[in-house]
Amino acid sequence: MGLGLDGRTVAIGVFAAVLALVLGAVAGTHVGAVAGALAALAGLIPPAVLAVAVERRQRNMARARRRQEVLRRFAPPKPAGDREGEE
Amino acid sequence: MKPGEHASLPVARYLRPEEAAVPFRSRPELYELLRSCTCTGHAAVQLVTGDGGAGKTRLALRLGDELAANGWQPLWVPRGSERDAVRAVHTVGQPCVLVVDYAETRSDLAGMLDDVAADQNGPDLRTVLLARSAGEWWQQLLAGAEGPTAELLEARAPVMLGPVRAAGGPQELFGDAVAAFAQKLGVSRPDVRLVLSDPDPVVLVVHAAALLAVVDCAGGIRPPVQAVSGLQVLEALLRHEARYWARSAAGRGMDLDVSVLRLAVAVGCLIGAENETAAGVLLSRVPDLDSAERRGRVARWLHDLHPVVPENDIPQREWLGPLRPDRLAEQLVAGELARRRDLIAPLFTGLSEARATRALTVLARAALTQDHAVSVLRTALAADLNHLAVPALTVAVETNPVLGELLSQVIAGQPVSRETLARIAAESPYPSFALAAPAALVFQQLADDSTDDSERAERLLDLSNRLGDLGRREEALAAIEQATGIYRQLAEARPDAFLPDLAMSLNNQSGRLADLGRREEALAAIEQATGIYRQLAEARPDAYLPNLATSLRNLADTLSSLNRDAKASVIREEADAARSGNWHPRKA
Repeated sequence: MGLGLDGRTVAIGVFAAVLALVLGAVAGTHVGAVAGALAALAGLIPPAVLAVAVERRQRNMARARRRQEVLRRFAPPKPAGDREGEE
Repeated sequence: MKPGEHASLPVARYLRPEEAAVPFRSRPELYELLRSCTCTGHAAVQLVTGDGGAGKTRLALRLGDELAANGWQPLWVPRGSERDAVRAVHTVGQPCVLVVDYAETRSDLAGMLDDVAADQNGPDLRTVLLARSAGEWWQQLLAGAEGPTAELLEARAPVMLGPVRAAGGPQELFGDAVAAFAQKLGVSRPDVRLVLSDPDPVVLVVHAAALLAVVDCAGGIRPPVQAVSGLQVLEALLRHEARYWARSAAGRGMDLDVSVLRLAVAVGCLIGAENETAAGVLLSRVPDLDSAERRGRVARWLHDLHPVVPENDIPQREWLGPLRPDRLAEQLVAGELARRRDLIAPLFTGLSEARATRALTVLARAALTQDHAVSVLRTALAADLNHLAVPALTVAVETNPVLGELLSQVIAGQPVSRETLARIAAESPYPSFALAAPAALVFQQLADDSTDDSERAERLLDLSNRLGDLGRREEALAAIEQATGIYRQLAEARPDAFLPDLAMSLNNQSGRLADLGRREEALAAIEQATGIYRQLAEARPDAYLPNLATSLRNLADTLSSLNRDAKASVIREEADAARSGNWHPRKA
C-alpha cells in the first residue's frame, strides 16, 4: 500500500480506537474510583496501541521507498522518447 | 510530416531494443529461457550469447515481461552494482530475474555469482547473463568458481542466439519491420524487398535495412536493387544519421564539415568523457577543432546529441552518451579510424586504464565483424603499449582474442621497456589461450634480459608453461630444463631458499618430458621432485604437504604409464595420505 497502510496496520489502528471506545463506555457505566481508573486506561492503552500502528506504517513506508529505489536503480532500459534529437 | 523531412531526422534510435519499434517475433530461445527460469530451485544462472545485433537485449526484455506476468520481478543490474544485486532481491521481496547485460565485461561478476550461490533465505532468483560469446572469460569464470557457484554455472549450457527465423525467411522479417517503421514514422508503407547479400543476417541488420528503406522512400530516394552487405546497410544508416548531425550542428551555429562531426561522434563513442572539461580535452585530439571555444561547443553538442540516461551499461559519471545500437557505433569508430589512421596514435596515447579498456573494447567488438578494425587496433597498441598493454590483456580475454595476437606482433616488433614487460607478465592470467603467445614472448624477453639467476629461472618456468599451452613442447622442455639447471645451482648454495623451487621445476620438467613421450626421463625427474618434497614436508608439513600430494600423484601417473601399477598403487596411497594430512615420513 502506498501509504504504508497494510491490513495489519489498519487492524491495529482500528483496535486502538475500539479499545478507547470500549474502555470509555465501560467507564461511563461506573462511578467513583473504578470509572476514573477505566478512563485513565482508556487514555493510556489505546495511544500505545496506536503508536504501534503508526510505527508499523512508517516502517512499511520506508520499506516501500527502499523497494521503489531498487526498482528505479535496477530498471530495464527504457525508450528514449523525444529526449534525443531535440533541438 | 513533409516529404523528404525524414532525410534529416535521427532514426537509428528506433533500432534500439527498448524502443520495440518492431513487434517482438517469438523465437525458440525465449521458451528455452522461460523453461530455464521457471524450473524449481532457489537459484539458477543462464548465459545467453549472440553476435552484436542478434537480439539478446530484446529477448531479455521480453523474458522479463513474460516472467513479470507470473510474479517475477526483472532487475537489470547496472554496471558497478553487481555486489548489490542479491541485496536488491531481498529488498524487493519477491522472486526476481537478475539480468546482466555485457556480462563478459563485468569485473565484479564472479563476486555477484558467489552472492547468488550463497543466498539461502531470500526470494527465488534467476540470473540471466548476456554476452557476445562464451569465450575465454566464461572459461575463466567456470575455472575460478568453486562449490555452489560452480554447480550453478555448470547446471545449464549457454543459450546461443542465431538469426531470427521466419517461415518466409529474412524477407518476411524485413516486410514486418518495414510496416512497423512506416507506421512509427507516419509514412505510407513502401513496396520494397530485402536485397541483403548475407545469407543469415542478424536481426538488427534486417531491421536496419527496413528502416533505411522506409526513410529513403519517404525522402524520395530509390532503395538499392543490387544486393548489399550488412556492413553497407549500417554504413548507409550512419550516413543518414550524419546528415542529421550536420543539421543539428548547423542549428547551433557550428559551421563544421560533416566529416569532422562524424569524427567527433566517433571519438565520443570510442573514449567518452566524465565531464565537460574532459570532453574538451578529448576533442583537442581531433584536427579542425583547434580553438577551445569550438571544442567546448562541440562537446556540449555531443552531450545533447546522445544524452546520458541511467542505462544498464553506462557508468553514472559518464558525460557523453554513446551512439546506439552498439553495432552502429562500432562501425562508425572503426570506419573513421581506418580512414584517419594519423589520428589513432594521438587518440590512444596517454589514456587512463578505464578509458583505454573502453576504447579497446569498442574496437575489439568491431573487429569481430570488420577486418579493418584489426589493423586499427594494431596501430593503437603500437602507439602506446605502456598504457594499453594491461587493458589489452583484459579485452583479449573478455571480448576478442585477436588482441592477444596483436599484442604478440607489437611486442615482437618494437622495443618494449622492462617495466612494461614486467607489468604484462604480472597481469597475464594463467592459463589463457588468448594470451599464451604474448605471455611467452614477454617471459622470453624478461628471461633473456634478466641478470639475476633466481628471476631468470622463474621467468623460464613461466615461459615453459606458456609454450606448453601453445603446443610448442620441445621449446617448453628446453625452457624448463634451463630453469631446473639454474635452480639446482641455487639450491646447492642456498638449499633453504631454493629447494622448493627446484622441486617445482623438476615436477614441471617431468610433465614436459612426459608430453614428449620420454617417460623414463619423466620418471627420474618426478622421483627427484618427490624426494625433495618428502624432505620439505617432513620439516614443514603445513607448508609442503599439498605440494607433496600433487607430486606423488604425478609420480603415480608416470609409473602407471610405464605399466608399473603395483608401485603406482602404493604411491597413490601415499598421495591420499598427504592430501588428507595423514602422511608420515618413512622410517629409514
